Amino acid sequence: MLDGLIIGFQTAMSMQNIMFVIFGCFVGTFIGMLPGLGPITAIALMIPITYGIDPSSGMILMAGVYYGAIFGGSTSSILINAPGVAGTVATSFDGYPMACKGQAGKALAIAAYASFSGGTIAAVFLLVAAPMLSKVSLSFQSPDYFALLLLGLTAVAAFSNKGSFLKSIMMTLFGLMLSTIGTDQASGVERFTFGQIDLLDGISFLLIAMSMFALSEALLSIISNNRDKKLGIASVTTEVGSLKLTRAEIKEMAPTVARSSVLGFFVGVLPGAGATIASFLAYGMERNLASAKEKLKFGKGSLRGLAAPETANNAACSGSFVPLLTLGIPGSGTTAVMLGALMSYGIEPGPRLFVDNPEVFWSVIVSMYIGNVVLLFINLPLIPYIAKALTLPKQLLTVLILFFSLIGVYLVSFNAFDIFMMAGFAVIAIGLRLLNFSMSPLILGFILGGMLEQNLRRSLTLSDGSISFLWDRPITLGILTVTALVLLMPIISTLRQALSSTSQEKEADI
Amino acid sequence: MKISKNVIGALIFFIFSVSYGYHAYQIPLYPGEEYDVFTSQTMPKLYAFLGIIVSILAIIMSVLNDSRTTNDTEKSADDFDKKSWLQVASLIALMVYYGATLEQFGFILSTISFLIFGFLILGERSKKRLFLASVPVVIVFWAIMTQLLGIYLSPGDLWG
Amino acid sequence: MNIKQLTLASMAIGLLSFVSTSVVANEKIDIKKIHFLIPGGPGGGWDGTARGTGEALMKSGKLENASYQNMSGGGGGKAIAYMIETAEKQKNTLMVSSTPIVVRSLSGVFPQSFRDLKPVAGTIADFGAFVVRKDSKYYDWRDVLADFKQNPRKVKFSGGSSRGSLDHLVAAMAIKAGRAKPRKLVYVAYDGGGKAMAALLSGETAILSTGVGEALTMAKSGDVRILAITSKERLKVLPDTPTLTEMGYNVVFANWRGFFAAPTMSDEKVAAYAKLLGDVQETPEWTEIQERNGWVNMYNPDSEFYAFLEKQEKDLGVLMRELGFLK
Repeated sequence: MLDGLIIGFQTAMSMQNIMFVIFGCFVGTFIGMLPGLGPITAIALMIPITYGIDPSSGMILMAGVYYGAIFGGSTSSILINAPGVAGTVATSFDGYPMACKGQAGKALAIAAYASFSGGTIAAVFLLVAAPMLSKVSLSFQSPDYFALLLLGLTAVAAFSNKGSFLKSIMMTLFGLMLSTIGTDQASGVERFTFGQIDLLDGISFLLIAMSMFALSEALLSIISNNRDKKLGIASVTTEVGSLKLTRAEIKEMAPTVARSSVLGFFVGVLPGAGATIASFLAYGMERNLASAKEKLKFGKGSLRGLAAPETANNAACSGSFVPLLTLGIPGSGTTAVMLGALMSYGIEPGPRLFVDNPEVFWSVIVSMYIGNVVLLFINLPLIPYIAKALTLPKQLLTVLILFFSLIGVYLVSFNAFDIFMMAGFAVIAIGLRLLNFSMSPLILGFILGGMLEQNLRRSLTLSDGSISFLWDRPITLGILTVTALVLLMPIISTLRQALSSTSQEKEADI
Repeated sequence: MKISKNVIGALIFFIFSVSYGYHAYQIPLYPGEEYDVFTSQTMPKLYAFLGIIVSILAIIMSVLNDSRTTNDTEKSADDFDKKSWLQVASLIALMVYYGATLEQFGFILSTISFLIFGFLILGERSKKRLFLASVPVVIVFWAIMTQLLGIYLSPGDLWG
Repeated sequence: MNIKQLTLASMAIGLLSFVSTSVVANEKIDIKKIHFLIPGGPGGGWDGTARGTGEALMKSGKLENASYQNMSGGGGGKAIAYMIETAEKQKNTLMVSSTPIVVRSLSGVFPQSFRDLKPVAGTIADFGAFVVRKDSKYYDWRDVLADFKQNPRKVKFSGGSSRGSLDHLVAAMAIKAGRAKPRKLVYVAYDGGGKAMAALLSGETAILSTGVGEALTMAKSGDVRILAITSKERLKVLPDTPTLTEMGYNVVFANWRGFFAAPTMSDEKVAAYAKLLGDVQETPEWTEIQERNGWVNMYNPDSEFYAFLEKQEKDLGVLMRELGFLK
């Protein structure tokens, strides 16, 4: 491993490669920040540029873009509640409330540090155990993924922003229903498409996220701004606040970061799961582990609630390199594009990569360290400038947000119908929000719905229709047990409270 | 009796779940699937079923809650702000316009008009600002996309 | 005007019209530029094919101008409709496509078919492969067939695309050729070749139906075995892998990729483009790109391409009807 490190450092530390890392991070962050443009497009566009340079450098460049995009994605999640990347949806749960309270600077700083920590810790794991980890990549099967997704769904859906359990269940169900639109993969049959050719492939995540988060937020802010102006209240979101974190805050977040890195990394190692699920699971885990007092803060601007998903998604990104490099199996759209790029360089990722092209393998890992450091140094100073973007006059800002959201989706599909759909969904989202429904469980259900159903279906097909798949494998059983605990926990604690507080006033606990 | 938002919301979801469920039964099955336990219809039916139950529960709970508490203070300062809503509606119409014209007029023209109309709707009047905030943004964006990144942006069917 | 001037004038007009018609005639067959229409998003298979082909054409000097337009939606149907609707404007447009166009127009996913366009040429192909883990008990495809005939549920095929798509159809074809009932085939769909391969390696599934291109890396590293492929003759890259044909099964299937022109393009221009696409395959620039992407050349121009498509449509149609995808 040591020689690997040396080879890695030698390759990665060349002037050229460092330039590539920096360039990649910049480009990635920029693209990630624009709500809508995503890492897949960014990396796909980098590929032609990388033909002229050697493979290690090419990979390093793409890895830089990848991280940069994940990091940039959190910026739009926090500042305007517009998660452009599925992995940053959970970031908006607590990041956006923080920004609304005038703590945008702190939120962005936490995101930066958390991402850095997650990525670095994961890179350490990668370094130490990459070849062995390929076994972990292959240890999960469909029933296990199903259980994991179920855990993710319950861990987060059970909470809500507006204090109504039933409402978030309804929104989760709505998201699940939306995820069924399109062609059912397992049967090849069209569902809920009503003859619309544009719905054949289902609705893209980006479309839902942009229209129901960014568009509705921007449009609703017009109403609240006008009202605030009338009442003479200063608009809340222009305050950025200081970037500094107190020692106590760091101490509070440290265990969260540690736990989320581990969780995120291992989830990322699984080919069927990635940054998205990792961020949701980490969020859910931290919330469930928090004390009752802390729990209430989640969803309203909890530091831990922000740190957990941010750490986890970067850790998962590093983790997803494991199946890519050791097995040649891409776990997500982004890594699939990178795989294509690798193959076009003539490099075949897989069990042979480690042996045949060690310099590619190790230099990618080392460049992760460098990338993480670079990201931190790029992004922290940039925060005040980024936040300044919020100070643009509201009329301009709102319309620009509308534009970027629409064009972001259009640039992926080049289908004008999508723009119409977005307008429609924005109307729906506005209606829902006015009725006090929260969007977060919706998008959670939407993202996880498809995978949940496919994995459940496969499990049943493979077990020939028997439900025994639920307990056949220890992993499945283990995760399902945790899920059950998570669901029962609130009930158990309520019971406990009710039993122990005979003489005290009983408080309604939701 | 004042029907609260909660009841309305739950009711809408109830209706939606019912229609979703109805369409779920319409989902075609491939031959042989009729005998399977799990089909393309299974999850949709499940979701619809759960949706109906939860929304009914929600309606009941809200009605019970409402009869217990009297909160008129939901949003008293909320006298229907006609101007804001008009702006929102116009912006939504503007987005539809954008979708319709993007490929006809071409990216540059369509986007500039979208931005300018948008600014106008929200009250921006200064001609200088209108121009400066729209044209350079669009040109730069167009340049980055088509020249630097090689992404094709529709030049418009008018010029075709 | 006097006679002399009249003669000069008519000569001038004659000359002018001669020149202009020949200019116009040459303009009709101007194949110095291609506008590629890609029915999918950037980074996908069609996208890579179009851009790679364009790159080879440009680098070898056979083309002066290449532009690319992505238009995804409806599984490729949107681009087809676009080609037909705006045919007049698509004078230099070539739409890249592959076998799914045949499959999807058969199943009615979109109302048009390849007949509504002008097939120019098929250029590359990927053959189907059946893959098992290295520790699998199967060494011979015929054993798989035997087990399948005994109990189809024991031999589940997995694939990286949805039910009714290529991976499934290829497996069904092979089963049918082996005189077993393709309807009994249990196909487990995964979201992408990578995940399907991961499932194979993790032991979840026993046999994978995929493209040779995707299986190649794993096969070379020894983690998996390719039991059979659907080409007619053995492939250079897999000298030890038998084809279904040589085992006596009448199955040849190629997932081709090729180019189509708008229905209003003249036949001469179509033929000219077809020849261009064939010529470029002789160049070293093409070879470099071809090897880079793992493409296998399968050049099929013009009317040969058309005949090929018709045959494939017929064969697939029969199969899909049998499987119940078509009424």
